[in-house]
Amino acid sequence: MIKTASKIPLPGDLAMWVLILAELSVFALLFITYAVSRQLNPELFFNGQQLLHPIAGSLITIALLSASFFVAQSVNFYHQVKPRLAAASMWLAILCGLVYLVIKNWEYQQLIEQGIGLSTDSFFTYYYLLTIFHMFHVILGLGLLTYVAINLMKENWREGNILESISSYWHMVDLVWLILFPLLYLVH
Amino acid sequence: MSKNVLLTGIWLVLIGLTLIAVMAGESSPHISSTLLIVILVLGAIKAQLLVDHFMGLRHVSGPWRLALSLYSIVLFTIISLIYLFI
Repeated sequence: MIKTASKIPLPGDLAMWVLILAELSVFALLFITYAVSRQLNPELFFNGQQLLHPIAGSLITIALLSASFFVAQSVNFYHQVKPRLAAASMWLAILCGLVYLVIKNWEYQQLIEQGIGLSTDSFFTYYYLLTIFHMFHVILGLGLLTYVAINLMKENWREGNILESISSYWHMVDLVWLILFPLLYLVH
Repeated sequence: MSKNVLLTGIWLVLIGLTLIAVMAGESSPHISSTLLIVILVLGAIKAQLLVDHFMGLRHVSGPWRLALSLYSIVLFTIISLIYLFI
């Protein structure tokens, strides 16, 4: 835990927060580039957005929000010295993350079956690059959450700093999706 | 209010705001400027709730909460300006 000036602890490790800010900066640049490109090709982007599945996007959002909720609950249970509940919450978070992967892959499959790929047009280039880049972060996050969940099942595991750092990373992945979702699926 | 109850409440609010945003987005093939602002403001509110309650930065003073809070607000503002004026 890092102590700030007012002695309120920053959850997790300082290095993780630096990484989070760096990751968010990269995504911010991508989002701004996407927005400018959309304005330069409004019809092309509109037509591309009509081929996406808003229900799939909504379910992904709910799955990721639920994963973040269970991660936050897990941290909470850990601090209440309830390791079994902390582990159970973490496994539920992982399950929600897997639901995201299933839906996202279904969505990719639907598009590929229609012959829509990375090089179809500039909208789908952005769509695939942004969502695949985000998905890589989800997959890494799921690996880290699994590591934590396995350790939480051990009676004497008391590495709150690692738990909070990995949780913060996961919430960052969710935060990115909360911006990506309206840009791709809702604003057309 | 216990932390467990608070987190559950925030989770339900986040899902509710998501559904409202989806309804706004699906209400018309071409959304109006007003709906655009509504959807992006809902996104910014959701991001702030996530930062404050799930990330646990609500009571953390100093630059970290400010940086994470400003991130979504500034980004959504820039995107709104691009969508409205370019």
